[in-house]
Amino acid sequence: MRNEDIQRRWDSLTDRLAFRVNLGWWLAQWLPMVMAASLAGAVLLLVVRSLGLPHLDWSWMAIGVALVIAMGVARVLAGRRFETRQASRVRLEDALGLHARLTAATQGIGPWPSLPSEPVVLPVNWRWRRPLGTLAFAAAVLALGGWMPVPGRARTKAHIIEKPTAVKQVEAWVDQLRKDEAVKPEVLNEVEKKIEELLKRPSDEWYEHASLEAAENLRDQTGKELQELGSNMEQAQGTLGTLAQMGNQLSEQAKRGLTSQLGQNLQGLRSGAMQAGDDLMKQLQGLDPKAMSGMSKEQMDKLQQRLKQNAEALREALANAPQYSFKEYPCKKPGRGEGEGDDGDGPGKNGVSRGRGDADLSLKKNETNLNSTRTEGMNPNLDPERVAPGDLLGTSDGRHAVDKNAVLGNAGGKIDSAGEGGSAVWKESLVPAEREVLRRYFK
Amino acid sequence: MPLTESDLQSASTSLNKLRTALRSVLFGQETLIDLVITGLLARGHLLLEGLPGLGKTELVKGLSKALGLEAKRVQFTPDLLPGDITGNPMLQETEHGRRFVFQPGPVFANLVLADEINRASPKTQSALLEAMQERRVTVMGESHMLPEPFFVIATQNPIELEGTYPLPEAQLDRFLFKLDVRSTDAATLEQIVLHREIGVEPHVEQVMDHAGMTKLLQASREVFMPQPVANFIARLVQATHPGEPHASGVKFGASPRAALALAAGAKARALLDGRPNASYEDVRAIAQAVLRHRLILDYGAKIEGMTPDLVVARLLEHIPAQDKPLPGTLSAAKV
Repeated sequence: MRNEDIQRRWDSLTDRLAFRVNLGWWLAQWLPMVMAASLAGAVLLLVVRSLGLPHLDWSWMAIGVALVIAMGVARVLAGRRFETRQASRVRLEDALGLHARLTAATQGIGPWPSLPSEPVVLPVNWRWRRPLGTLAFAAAVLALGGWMPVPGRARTKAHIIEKPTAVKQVEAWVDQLRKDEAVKPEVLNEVEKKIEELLKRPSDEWYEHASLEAAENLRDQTGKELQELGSNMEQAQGTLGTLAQMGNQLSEQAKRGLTSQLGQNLQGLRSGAMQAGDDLMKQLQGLDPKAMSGMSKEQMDKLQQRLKQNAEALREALANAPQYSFKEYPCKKPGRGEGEGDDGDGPGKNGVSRGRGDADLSLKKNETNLNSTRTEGMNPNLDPERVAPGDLLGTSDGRHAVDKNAVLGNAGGKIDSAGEGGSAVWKESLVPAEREVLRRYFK
Repeated sequence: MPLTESDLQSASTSLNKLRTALRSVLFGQETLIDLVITGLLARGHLLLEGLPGLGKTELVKGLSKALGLEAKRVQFTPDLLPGDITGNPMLQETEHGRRFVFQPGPVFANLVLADEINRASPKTQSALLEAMQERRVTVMGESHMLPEPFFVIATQNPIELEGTYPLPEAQLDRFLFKLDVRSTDAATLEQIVLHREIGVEPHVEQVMDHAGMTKLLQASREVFMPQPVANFIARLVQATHPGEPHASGVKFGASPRAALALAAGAKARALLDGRPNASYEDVRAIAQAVLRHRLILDYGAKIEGMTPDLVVARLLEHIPAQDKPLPGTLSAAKV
């Protein structure tokens, strides 16, 4: 082997040794920084997690960046103690017993010593326990910081900022009705604006009594308006259906009654705060109950079907709020008996075995529960948004719920009210301030 | 000017012959012989310490014969006067009348064997030690240069302390090496019995002449001293001083002359080994011989059984060739 080759081999070995020593110095500087960064990082992770801040990924990135920066700083600091090739050469030749021949050869004194036949073992060994131990500790600390269970303030907060049930209910109605096009979009927009106004308040205040009351008022108002709309629609379709089915068989008086009824329903549909979808409203606008005789049976059937579909959509939307349900008004058909027509549940035709045997409002042992809560618009031109105290918007007749039990009170433990939407919230969960008060009390 | 391969080869041949010749005189003392040759190549004076009958005198006599140098022996006694060593002015009849003429003493030789040097008075010891240092003798204001090369090989008996004058530290420092001559094992004794007879001096062949010796001494000076080795010597000597981490028990450390002695000895050993440069191994090999008589221990250390040799061994164990420490993530490995 030529002298230059031997020199190159020895230089390579020397450089390897210098690299190992310098890497050791760098590690010796970096490991304490890793320890410090991991501890600080674990604290950061715990704080971020316990506060529920949405910056967990950023925290991990920050820890990574800190470790990378520490690498650079360690390089700078360790650089002061880095070993030169000459220093490593001394270390190597002393360990290998080369009688300083490497150093002498670099000075041109004597030849380079021949390389040993066996691979040269560098005279420094890694103490792996320390670096591995430090890295394992750092990883464990970070793992603890990242995955150790902490009091879930974030989860509690997420639970609290859930929209109040009343608001969610109204939102569900709006979404459903918009999808079904059962209500005029402008009206739904108005409702949404009101929801937005409610939710503009800080989420911590959504469950204050005032907010909950406002939300429930909105739900009540919207629910009742939808109920009224649905009821009018149902009645209108029922009346229209009856007229279509039995128009020719009815007496003039009954016809007038039904026409009048239909007129009231249509008036309610037009003037109610909640209005039906645009298509239906266009059809209803031009409809005159007094001129119903001019409509063909098919036209009436078509309109009735349209009203029925709309009423069904409303019923479906209000399915999650039974208190706002409205009754179905099936159209009446000719009764079973001597007259023409199929079996039905409408009044009979004066035969011995006519109809179902009784007619509405006939005298009988038990009073007839019509379940009617009829609202009649008194002044169709009255703007419901600008009513003054004392203005009569409408009349409603119905039955009062009278407690027939005049002697006994409510049984102990009986639930008076099954609760409505939103009541579960204040009964089963607490705002943070309330929770803190309870915690302090039980301490 | 660095030594060439042929220089080294020639020196090695001569020194091997010398080594062989001395081994035929002194059996089983290879290390001692090597150290003696090393000391001579380093132009140093040697102090041999050992029990009587171990061959100290025989070694020196053999050395003088092998080197072909003029050798003289002085048996030191308490009544020995300085003039008995350096020489005296004698009143003599000359062409210009009666004049004091300087009669050179036994110190005027290439190789002086100062046998049992610690038996002479300090005044006499000083006369010899001055000659060792200055390599000249001044009598009645007139300086007389000693021949070149000039070596003093002194011996002393470590057990017979009564009637002796131990050499002061300053004078001990002038000896390059202090060599312990130890007794040999049974096999060596057997060789001695077989090949020696009392009263018969062994035959030693002359292997070198004056010029050859001078050439070797010059070659020894030209051995390359790498800077890391010089640094190692400096740190080793510095570490002998009181207050240094590994010098506990040392009252006085080694002087800069010790550092020079280590350097000269390392070079000489490298030449003896046929190398053009001194090395850490050379320094370690001669450290005991160079430092043992230069370290003064305190009483506490002596009571605890500490010796200069133990201190030097401890220093050699803890002072690495490379003074830069290793990081905590690495450990030095034995290769």
